[in-house]
Amino acid sequence: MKASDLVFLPEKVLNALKKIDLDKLCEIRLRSFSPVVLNYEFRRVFLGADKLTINEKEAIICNEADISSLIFKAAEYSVYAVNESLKAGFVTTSVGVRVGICGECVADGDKILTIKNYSSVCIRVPHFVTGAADELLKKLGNIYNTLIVSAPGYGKTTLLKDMARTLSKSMNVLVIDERGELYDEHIRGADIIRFCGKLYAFRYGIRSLAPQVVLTDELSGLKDWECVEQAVSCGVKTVATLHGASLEDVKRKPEFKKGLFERYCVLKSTGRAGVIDKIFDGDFSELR
Amino acid sequence: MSYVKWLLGAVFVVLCTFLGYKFSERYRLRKKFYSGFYAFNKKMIDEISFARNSLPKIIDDFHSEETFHNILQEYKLSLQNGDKLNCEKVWFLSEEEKKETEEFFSLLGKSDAFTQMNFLKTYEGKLKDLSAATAAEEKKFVSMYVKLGVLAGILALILIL
Repeated sequence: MKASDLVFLPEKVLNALKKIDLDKLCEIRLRSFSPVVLNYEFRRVFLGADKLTINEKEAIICNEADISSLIFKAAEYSVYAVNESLKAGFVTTSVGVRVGICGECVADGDKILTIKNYSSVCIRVPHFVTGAADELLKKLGNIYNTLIVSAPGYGKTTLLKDMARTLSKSMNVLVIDERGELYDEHIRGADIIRFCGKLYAFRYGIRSLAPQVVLTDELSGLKDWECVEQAVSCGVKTVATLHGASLEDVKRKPEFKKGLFERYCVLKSTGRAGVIDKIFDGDFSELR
Repeated sequence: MSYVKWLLGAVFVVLCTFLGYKFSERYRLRKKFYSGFYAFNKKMIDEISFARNSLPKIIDDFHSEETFHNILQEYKLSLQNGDKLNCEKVWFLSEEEKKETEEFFSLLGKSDAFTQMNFLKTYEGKLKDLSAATAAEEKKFVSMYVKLGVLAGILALILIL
């Protein structure tokens, strides 16, 4: 991650970030008239003008104009190009930085038209960690339909990206990148469908690109699970990620389908991305 | 000695013709500007209907003559600096035309595709008319000024001789 990848940030924030190690930065949160908060080395700290601090009085404060300008710049000055994702609460920059957006929803009945009067943003700073998936691939031994589970911020996406890099060296890999976060120059050997709903991407991708493995991030809701089911029924191995603290969280989800995944990999928080806690088989027996 | 007078006269003819051409510069620039502006508006309509590329990319890919190209580069720079486009230095536009141009660019990129399309369609007819009108002015006045320049030069030649 380079400072130039974050050029959409307010100048005072960008100047302060240039003084820290961006490779240790996971997340930036800007809220109107509140201190700028970072997830730095998996710790919550405030961003001061000259240094990181635990004292919020020393932190940089942003206002609504800073946040509005940030979103406009993150959208490359082209709201018309990102309004669909804006309605879904995020904008992804051209280099794959996802900016989650909070503000007032403008609705027409049940339909959300857009978000206005932005009040806060949550910026996920992507990192590519070569080798992040080595341990998982070694422990799996083979390619299975695998679900990677953890709470937000544990490195699921980082692990998935490295998996795409490794697997694409010897297989036809399709990456379904719904939010534009998975793209990286390290995975140019894979086929990547970006900014597209999973239903369309799974259907068209499997028909047109004949993948051997499909990788996708953040299963959410019954339709996403049905997409995976469709891929698996076509004989295509699928690796997906899911928010959850444990396997029990996964089983409790109403859309959960037993027998769909052959392996469940639960990550743990250790200050490094993508560290495996436990791996389970399709019958939920722990594999050692 | 007479050949010196002829030479001087010829110089005046060329000089006056050139001055006539220069006086017509305003009309030439206005034609190029509105021709480029109309083409850019059309390009934006096409983009929003289809590929929806970002503004910087559209500007980089758009080819126009220097007159409008310079305005686009100024606009792109103003975006990066967080400023508004300032047309104060665009001397060949009237004050009202400068304000309208600034307003156009201030609203670009700020709304969803549907609203943006309506906005561009509103300007399309107006810009088409301005492009045609300035082309007609250019044809009329450039020719007129050049002829006046030639006549003035010939008059000067006659006076010298």
